[in-house]
Amino acid sequence: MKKPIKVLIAKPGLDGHDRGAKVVANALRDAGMEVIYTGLHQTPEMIVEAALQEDVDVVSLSILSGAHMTLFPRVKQLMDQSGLGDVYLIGGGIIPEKDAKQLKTMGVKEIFGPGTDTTAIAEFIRGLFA
Amino acid sequence: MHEQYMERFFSGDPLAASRLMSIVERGAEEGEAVLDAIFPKVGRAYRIGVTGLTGAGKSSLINKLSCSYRREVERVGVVAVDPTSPFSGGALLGDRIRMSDARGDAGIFIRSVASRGSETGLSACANELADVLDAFGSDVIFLETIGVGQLEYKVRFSVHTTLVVLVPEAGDDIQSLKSGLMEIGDVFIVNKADRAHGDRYADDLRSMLELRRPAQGWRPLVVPTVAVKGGGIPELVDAIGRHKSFLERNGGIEQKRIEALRNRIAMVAEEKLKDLFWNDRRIAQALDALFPEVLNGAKSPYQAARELVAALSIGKQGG
Ligand SMILES: Nc1nc2c(ncn2[C@@H]2O[C@H](COP(=O)(O)OP(=O)(O)O)[C@@H](O)[C@H]2O)c(=O)[nH]1
Ligand SMILES: [Mg+2]
Repeated sequence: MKKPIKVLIAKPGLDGHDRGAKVVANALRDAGMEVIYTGLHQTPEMIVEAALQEDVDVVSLSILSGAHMTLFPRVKQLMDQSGLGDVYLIGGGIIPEKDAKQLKTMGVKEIFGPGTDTTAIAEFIRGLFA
Repeated sequence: MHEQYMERFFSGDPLAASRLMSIVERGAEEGEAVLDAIFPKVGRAYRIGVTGLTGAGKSSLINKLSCSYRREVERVGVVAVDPTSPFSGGALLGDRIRMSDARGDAGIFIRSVASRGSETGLSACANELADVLDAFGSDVIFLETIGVGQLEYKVRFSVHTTLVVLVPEAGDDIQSLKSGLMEIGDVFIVNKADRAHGDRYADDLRSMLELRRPAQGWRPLVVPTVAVKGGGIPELVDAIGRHKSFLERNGGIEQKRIEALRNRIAMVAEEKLKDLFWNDRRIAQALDALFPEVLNGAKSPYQAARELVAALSIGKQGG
């Protein structure tokens, strides 16, 4: 029996817009995934705690505040420390190409720019488990 | 696969607990092996069912309640069920959004689960996930469910106290509350009591409950709350405590344990019987032979069902 892919969508940091995160959450639900959305203003600690308790397969961070170069590595570090090294970390938001490249060398699996087609995100995630 | 987690689980590792819950969610033999292994440790937690329609404020209440209980106990568990989309089989599990106070506390273990349905062949296993949290050492466990159907029926047998969450709506009549919720509540919560009509609604509810014969000697309590602001939470904790003492005085805790175990055996056995039945080749063959006769009107569906079941017993005697 197959369990649907479980994804945590988290919004760390201070920016107060979660429209994008909600659109992605709905799209992944419509693609047959179980999506956990935790709301705004999550600290990296809270995000990793949620990922651990919910035993998700993927953590997706949505960051518009510009703090991606500190938030992604911090979340990745906490995930590794908590035994979640086997959980994929992806993300999206307003992230320049060169930052995205660097984040990928630090263990972030993929970064989606603003306006990415949500079906592409769903397909990418599904591809991770194919 | 589960063996690697058992020792860590019993020594209190939350990651092991979480991974074991996923194995239980997947079901099958592996899932049952986990439930077998933890069973000796199950039964210590006080279980509180929280039921009511979507948007009533169940998650917001659990948020405040779990923080309140955490001042006295080591571990609180939460299992929150949200519906699976019948179209995609996916689900949006949003209960954690409302649990903002509880979220930062590692002593509160929150697990979201999709109701699933026949679409995926998996049924929601809220009780079983609660068992894992129970064996993990939770003192209190909340089970948030959506309020209707088969799952409610299952959960009802496994909890000690059932909270029914209602919201006063303008022009709403207490009489319309007949959907089975009236029968199951030990404590009725009138949430969003900050809205108009809140007081009258609570009064109407109280007088209606007074007309009913108390089930097993317990007259349900009515508590108005404003979950988002924490209003009425101490009164609610007190009401739950009174129901708990009532159960303790009357042997109700042991009675519930007996009922829960009996029901669990029956439900699991029924599931297994269903699997056996539909996976039996004789049944598949008999159905193939019978169905055209039903289609052309020669046999009724009832006749066909009788013969289907008979095919099983005949086969058994012969084999
Ligand atoms: N005005 C008011 N709103 C509330 C109260 N309790 C919850 N809400 C809001 O009602 C909505 C649904 O609450 P939630 O806890 O998610 O309900 P659930 O679906 O039953 O779990 C949220 O927007 C809450 O902020 C309350 O006491 N008063
Ligand atoms: Mg809820």
